[in-house]
Amino acid sequence: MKMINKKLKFYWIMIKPFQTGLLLLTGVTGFISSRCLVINFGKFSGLILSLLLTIGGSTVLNMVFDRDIDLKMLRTMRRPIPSGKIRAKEAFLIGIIMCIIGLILAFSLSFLYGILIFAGILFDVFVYTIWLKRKTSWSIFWGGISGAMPILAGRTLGIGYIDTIGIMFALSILLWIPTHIMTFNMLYFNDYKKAGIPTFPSKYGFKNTRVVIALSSVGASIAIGIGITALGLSWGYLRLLAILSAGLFGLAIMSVLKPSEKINFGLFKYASLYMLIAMLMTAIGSVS
Amino acid sequence: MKKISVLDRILLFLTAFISAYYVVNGLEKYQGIVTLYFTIAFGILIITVIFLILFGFEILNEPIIVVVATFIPLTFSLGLIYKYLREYHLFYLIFSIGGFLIILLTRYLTSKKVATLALIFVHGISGVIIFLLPIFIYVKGISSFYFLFVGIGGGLISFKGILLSSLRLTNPILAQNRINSLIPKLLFLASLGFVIGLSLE
Repeated sequence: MKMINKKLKFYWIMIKPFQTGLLLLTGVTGFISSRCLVINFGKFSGLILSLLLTIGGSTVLNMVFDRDIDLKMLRTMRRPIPSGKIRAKEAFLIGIIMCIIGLILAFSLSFLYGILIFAGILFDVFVYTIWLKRKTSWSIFWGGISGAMPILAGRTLGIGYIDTIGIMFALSILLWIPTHIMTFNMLYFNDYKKAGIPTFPSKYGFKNTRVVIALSSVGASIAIGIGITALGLSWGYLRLLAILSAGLFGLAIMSVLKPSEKINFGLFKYASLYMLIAMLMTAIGSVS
Repeated sequence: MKKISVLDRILLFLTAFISAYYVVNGLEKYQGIVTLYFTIAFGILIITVIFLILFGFEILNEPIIVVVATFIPLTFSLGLIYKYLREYHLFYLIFSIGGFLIILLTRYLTSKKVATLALIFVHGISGVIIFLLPIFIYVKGISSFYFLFVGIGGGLISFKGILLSSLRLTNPILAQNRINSLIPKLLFLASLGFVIGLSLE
């Protein structure tokens, strides 16, 4: 029993609960935003379970394929696989099983929803992690596409087709991801350099990266603003979104004009908080 | 410098939550320009509070934060003036723009002392308006008793501004750590006062 508990604890770390939770929330928000007329317990729990399994599973698979890099980076060297607490083969098997069960569940809910979830895994594990992460700093764009899939899939499951609002929501996540990852790249610059991972700061410099972060945060705010407006949410939610977007943009500008590690990390945390609040607002606004 | 405590974080979170709730649900009843003024006031309050949670009290030493935070009492008082004393709105708008420009210019072009005195002056005037106008409106019988809470909120937010400004003087009103420990409480009570007062006016 102790052994199982220990393993579960390691797998809990490996699915990156905060990141998975945030992506799960985007998927659930996408679904709720559809104001689906036929919401039943089976469909809703199927959505949560399929997202949880596929996002968690692909995160575990990423950790398997990145284990050599993780070992070189101070930030990640204590993760369960590089530290030898979990064997790579075992994690690979668990990751695959989680993805397959999640996909079966997704396809059983809706074919289109299943396709989008499958695309998310494909972009995340194969295109981003295996193919491009070690080759180009632009890999985060493809990682961003996979991150944008849960919200698009959730909305598509609710309305039955892909619409402009879903694409706008997906675009907002896609543009938010550089804010998130590039800040991380700057914060752990030496770690990434040591592991030989090309990042925006290493390729284009810190100053240009900060400009890209500022621009992408504005783009993310505009995209989610258009999505929420098209969704018909009340002006109150738009006002709050405008306020939070101004804060995000202000912080991004501060990081360009007066760069420091503290501002960078603050921007990273603010960007996460921003997305969390934007998702909660969309979900609450859709049902109220 | 004093670290931000768990209680401080809870109070700041509640401040942001109350203000955000009011921005979403409470501003529909006003005319366009009043909505804009109150949105800016509550908006800067929310962002300041989030920054405090993320960065701690050190963020208050950033000149840009001090300058932008001046918008809270200025736009709040502008909203009140427009709603209740519209004939003075243009005059007060000119004063507000001028006051803001003076704060901005003195912050970057003059000595700390002059910049601080300019800040205290503009903060003080707008704070007095937010504090006294609700009393005046209540005495006139235009609003309910609860509107006095707006005045209390105004008094508290101005007190916060003056405390922070005084840190740049040779003899601050209170020690920095003492002022920092008061900030979350003042912001929470001020936002509570504003929301109660405006909701039940």
